[in-house]
Amino acid sequence: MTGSTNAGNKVNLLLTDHNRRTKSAVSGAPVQFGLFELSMFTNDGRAAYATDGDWLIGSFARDASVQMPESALRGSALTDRVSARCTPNAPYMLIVRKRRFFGFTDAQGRFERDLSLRMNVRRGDQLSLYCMFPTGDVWQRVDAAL
Amino acid sequence: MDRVRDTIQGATRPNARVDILIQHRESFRRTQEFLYSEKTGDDGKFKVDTSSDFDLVGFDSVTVLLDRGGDFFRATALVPGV
Repeated sequence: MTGSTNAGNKVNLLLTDHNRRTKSAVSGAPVQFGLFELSMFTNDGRAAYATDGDWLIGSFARDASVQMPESALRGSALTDRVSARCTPNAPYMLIVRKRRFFGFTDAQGRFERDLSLRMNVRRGDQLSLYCMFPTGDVWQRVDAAL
Repeated sequence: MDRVRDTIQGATRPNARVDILIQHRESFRRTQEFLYSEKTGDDGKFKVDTSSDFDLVGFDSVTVLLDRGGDFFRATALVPGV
């Protein structure tokens, strides 16, 4: 998890599943300019990953409690189309081979883009999707085009 | 910086004028800039409330500028976010 906190403040991050059972609780300090990067681990040392429905609670702001959205990300080299799902009614940014596409998701968090006018999507191209919560927090998912 | 209260607080020289430039992210493509000028008190502290102009959110960029005898000092930070 990467983020920003007020300079000099310690950061606590708590990751739970959708039933609020703890998956990981970690602490750290910003490295420079208030920026931090923390790896999430379980108590027995295994890596913990945020999945759909999980909650992330941060100490850096009182409203920093975000639920990971139901998500999807598919890109087709055949049709040059990308379909995705993340936060409802949210600004999104899609990056494919350094080309950026912007827009807003619908009420279900979905969108579909035809990229054919701007690029030819190839199999294996990395698709990076960023969606913004109303708090400004950002969710990211990466996948490859098929 | 408190994104819930929409406030930015800091401290510098007493009784000085500071400019606070905020680049607010409306989306990944659209940003809007807001400039506030504040005078610090005897304790050097200043505070800005953005709530009447916009909702301060995570990763908004905040730059505080201080002119001291022709020399400019600058501090930049991002509003807390993840």
